[in-house]
Amino acid sequence: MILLAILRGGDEAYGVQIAEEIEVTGGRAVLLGAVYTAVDRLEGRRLVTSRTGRPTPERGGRAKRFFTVTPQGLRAIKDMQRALVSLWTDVPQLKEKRT
Amino acid sequence: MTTRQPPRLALALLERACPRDEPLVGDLVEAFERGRSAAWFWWQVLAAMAVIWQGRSTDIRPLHLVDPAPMEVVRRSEALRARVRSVNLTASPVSQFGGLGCFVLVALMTVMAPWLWWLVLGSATSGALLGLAVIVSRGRRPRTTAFAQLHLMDSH
Repeated sequence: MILLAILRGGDEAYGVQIAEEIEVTGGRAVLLGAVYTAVDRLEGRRLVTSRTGRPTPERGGRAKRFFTVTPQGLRAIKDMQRALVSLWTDVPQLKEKRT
Repeated sequence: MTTRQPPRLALALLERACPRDEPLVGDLVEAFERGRSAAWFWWQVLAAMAVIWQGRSTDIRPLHLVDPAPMEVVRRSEALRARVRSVNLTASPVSQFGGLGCFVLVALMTVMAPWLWWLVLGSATSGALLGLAVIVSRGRRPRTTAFAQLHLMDSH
């Protein structure tokens, strides 16, 4: 979910934006600390890279940390999509009944 | 233009607990300024502290190869050892051999070789007799104390 949220944010994806993206699309509250922990792990697996921006006054002079999905991360997302789609297909309980 | 200030205590707690996570603190401040409540801010701060603390507790921390602290500790410990000398408070002439050592030795001797007590008794008796002989022989010799020597010098 975090990888997708970063992708949706483009090159300017940062903590607040990722959290809002997940809250809006996923419909649940997000902990910013948990987002950062997850992103740190993804960065450790080289699926995401980060860069620090300039400090801005609306953040009390604190810098933003922008995230970008790496080609390796993009490949991982596609693999996950393929796996999920194959899991979704041919599940009888999920098939709509035609009347 | 006035900006909303997040709860000071929560902010101070977060900055204290996570000094390296400036972007996270900035994100929380920004979200608060966009209209989040103080309760939300507190909840995020406490959760962030818990999450970060939990994550760090499992981190593998490499040793600081240039950290002078351990060497300093060793140096101070050696200096302290050199300054403090052990004092024998047991009145035993042998260092590191006190009352417990004597008791163990006596118990061992009584159990393992009781005949050694005769040797001890003989040694003590001969020592006492030797001491008495020395006292008697000294009593017969004229005393030449420092005071007596001064008195003799004055008389000459």
